[in-house]
Amino acid sequence: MSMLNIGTSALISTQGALSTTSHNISNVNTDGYNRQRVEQSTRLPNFEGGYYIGSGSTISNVERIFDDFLSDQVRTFTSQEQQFNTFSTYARQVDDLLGSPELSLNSGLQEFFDSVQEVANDPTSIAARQVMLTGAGILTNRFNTLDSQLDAFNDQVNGSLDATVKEVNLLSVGIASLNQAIIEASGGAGIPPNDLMDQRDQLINELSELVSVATKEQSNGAVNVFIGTGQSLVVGQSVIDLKIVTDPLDPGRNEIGYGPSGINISAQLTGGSIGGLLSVRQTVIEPARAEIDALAAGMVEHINAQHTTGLTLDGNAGGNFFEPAIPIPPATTLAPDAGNIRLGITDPRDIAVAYPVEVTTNITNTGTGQIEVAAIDSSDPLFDATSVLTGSLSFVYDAVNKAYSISYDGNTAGAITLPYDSATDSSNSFDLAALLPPLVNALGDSPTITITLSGVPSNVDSFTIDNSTSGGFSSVGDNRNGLALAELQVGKVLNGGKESFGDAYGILVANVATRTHQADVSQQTQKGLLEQTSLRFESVSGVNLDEEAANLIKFQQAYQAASQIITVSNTVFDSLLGAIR
Amino acid sequence: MRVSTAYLFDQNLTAMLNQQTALGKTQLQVSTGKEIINPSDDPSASVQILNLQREFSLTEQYLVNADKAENRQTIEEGTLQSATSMLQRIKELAVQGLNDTNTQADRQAIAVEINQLNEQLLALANTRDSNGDYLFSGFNSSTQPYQTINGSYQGDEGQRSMQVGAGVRIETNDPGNAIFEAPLIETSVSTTGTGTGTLQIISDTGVGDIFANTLSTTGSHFSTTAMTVSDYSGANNASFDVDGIAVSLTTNYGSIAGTVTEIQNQLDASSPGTYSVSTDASDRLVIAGAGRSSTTVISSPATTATATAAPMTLANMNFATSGVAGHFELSDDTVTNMIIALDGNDYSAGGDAAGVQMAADITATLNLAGSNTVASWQVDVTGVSGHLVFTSGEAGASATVPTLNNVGADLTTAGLTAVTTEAYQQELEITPDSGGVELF
Repeated sequence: MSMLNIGTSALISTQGALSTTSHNISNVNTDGYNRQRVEQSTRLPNFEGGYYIGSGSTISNVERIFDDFLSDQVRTFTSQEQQFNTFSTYARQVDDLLGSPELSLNSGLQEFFDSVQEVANDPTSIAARQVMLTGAGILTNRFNTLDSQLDAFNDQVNGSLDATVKEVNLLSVGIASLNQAIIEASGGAGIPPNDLMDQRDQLINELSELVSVATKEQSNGAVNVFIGTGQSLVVGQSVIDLKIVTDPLDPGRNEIGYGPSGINISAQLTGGSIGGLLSVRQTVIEPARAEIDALAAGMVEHINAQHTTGLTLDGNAGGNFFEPAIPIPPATTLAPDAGNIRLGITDPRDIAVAYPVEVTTNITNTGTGQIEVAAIDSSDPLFDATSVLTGSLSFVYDAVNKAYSISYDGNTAGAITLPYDSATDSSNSFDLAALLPPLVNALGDSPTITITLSGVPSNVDSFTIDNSTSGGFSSVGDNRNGLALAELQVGKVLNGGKESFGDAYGILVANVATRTHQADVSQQTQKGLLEQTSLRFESVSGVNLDEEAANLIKFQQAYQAASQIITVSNTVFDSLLGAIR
Repeated sequence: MRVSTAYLFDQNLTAMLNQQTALGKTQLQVSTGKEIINPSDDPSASVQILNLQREFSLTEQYLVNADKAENRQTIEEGTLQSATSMLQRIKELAVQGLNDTNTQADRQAIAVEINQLNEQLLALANTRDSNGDYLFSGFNSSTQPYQTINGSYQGDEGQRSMQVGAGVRIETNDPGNAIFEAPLIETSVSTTGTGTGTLQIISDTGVGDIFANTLSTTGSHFSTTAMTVSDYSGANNASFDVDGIAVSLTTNYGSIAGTVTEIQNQLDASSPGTYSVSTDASDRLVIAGAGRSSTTVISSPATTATATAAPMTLANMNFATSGVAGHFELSDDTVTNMIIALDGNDYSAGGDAAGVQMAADITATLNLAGSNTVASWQVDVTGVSGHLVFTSGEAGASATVPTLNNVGADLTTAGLTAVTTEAYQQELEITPDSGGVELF
């Protein structure tokens, strides 16, 4: 009898092995499947009075071949790879946007300043002025487009965060219910339900694509899942939901809220798509928006300042070239940024290309002395380009004392002498508002202009500086303010006089490009690491069909042999019966 | 190592996809002809590209500007060439008109032609550029610079600059009054005398005005800042004209007031009550015409300044120190730009050559180490007031008065006085008070 029993046990064990091998083969392409192995052991032997006779085999366990350490590593690298992947996807869009020739501010700035130069070349040409307005319109459009595109990226980030949070919650629920199922299936006896565990591990793997996770296995077979700096997502069978909350300071900024009260834990989250989305928003999209806004504001400030210094074709004071203008405290009007920048003037005649003051050299001067107006300070809110000076500035050179005596608006009491030695001072600039003692008119005001003195004036050579509007404006061919506007293209006016407009844009492009490039490289690195770790993990847990095929034959032969035990035992029994008959 | 079958396939697939991605990128590079498609492909290179694009576009615009500037200048050049040839023709006609063999009809024909040329010159002065802007009216480019031949200039002196390079601007026009008008010189000056000084008119107040505005003087008797028409000894006379009235100064009138009175008298003799001669607070000569707006100021400093523009040459004079080492010292208490020439070599302040050294500041000393004799010397005392000291030996060593040969006449010319202050020194004072280099 025992032989039949042994044969039966062999058949059962081998059947189990065959089934497990078949299970392995059938799940060769199942995501998250870990190969299983039947562990056989001998059954308790029978004591036959003096010795033990073996009683066959039994399946002691179906083991899941699994390495916790490697699994954790795979998750870590998955999270990191996914973070850089998401980062680089979004950063590349910004990168493309800023670098594209059709949308780039670089070409917009170039076209605009080219048109400014054309107006400076032909200040009376309405056509050139119209082209300049068009160029400026294109430039403001570029700013607006960039702003709305970056806005759209921000919306995409918000939308993705929203979708991802929902996915996290679904996965959490899945993990929790599998935890439940596993606890029930193991029934407290510690028999591992391998396929349920595979499913749960697979869900955790999927979760790690969304955010970095940490896991902790409980003695009852359940796994607790934590994110961020230890915020628990799944505890046994219960789940704590994430939800989208908006930044109270910026309603356009979705943040990750934790638990029913929605505590903002964005700062604690790293890894996965969520980590990628949060960091690309923080390090690429938002800085790019801020820098584009700063560039727009800087352009408005400097171009408006220069434009309002000048006079239009009709001799009126130049208005704001771009709107909205920089608010002057205490006014709290809308500040200019890339989104709202627009043209302030529509009539080409209103472009202020002429300078508000002109120098007249006395025709009888015998020297080669020259006075040029180098700059005009229009920063005073009350500045009016049509009346920069209250009256003539009069210069007379005294060759004996090597100095110009200057009077303003005929006010002899406020006249001063300005030392000028052609040997040492030629081409030097003098700010007439900053002289000591001050040069003032009868009202005590100083002229807000800077002049450049050059050449060798003779004794009593004289010059006057007057408003261009004095005696009626006729200097329609004056292009000096146009040249000053064009000069802003190369002038280092931004960021404390260190960057031109083009420089600032270049730096912005470089920043985004560098971050994108870094993310690309990091992604490649993490991908490599992930592949290596996956390979190691798979080499432990993955199904190899050749191996399984060999096992199949091995177990098949064992099964055949076990069948033979039954046959033999049958023969033995028949022989026994035959002997009785 | 075990390899999972599924993973094996995955890896092969990934490798293939990677290659496809790389191929796709290369194809994109080929089709666009660009190595860098996105800035992130090479951040630092892409920023350079942006900068270069900017430079390139800027330079292109500069080229456009330069073309426009050249156009305007070509128009101006052509106009000025035409004007020059017309003036040439007018000159020819004027010369032709001088000929006494011309009949009345001939002269009339010449007058008609000159008139026509004048009209054409007017048309040239009113030339416009391709944009319709008047080329010769400064910034007032919509204003016709001259309405009639004798009309006054309607433009201003603005010059339109164009940016043709980074920091390079080129002016593309000239104001008409600088080209088509020139001040008439109505006052003439002549000088007589043996000195090298000249008195010349630098400018006039302009067309139609009567007075010369500024007289400037050069030469050994006159300084650029002091009108000096006569030397101390009265050996050099000077004369000048005021509106054709000759003023001749032939002697030392002793004081500023004396000279002023003399000039006033001479002017009144020809045109009583027309002019008033005075000096201003700086002792500058002012000749004002009665009822006239313009004033002739002969610039001159107060009595404290002195010196001459041209070098004071005392070529015949030599200096010997009786066989002992001596030196040459020029003490200068007003300015530092003095030049001493010895034997034809210039030693300027601060120079140092062949044992001859000269300090840069107040006191300059020339030590004659090798040779005790200087054959000729020349001192530029422009703006200098001080003492020129010749020393042989030092006090107590060889107290010999150095010999100054052939100095008499030159000293007189230069208005210098030789004084002996020490036994071993000859000293020339170059002070305004002692010298004849001052009129007043």
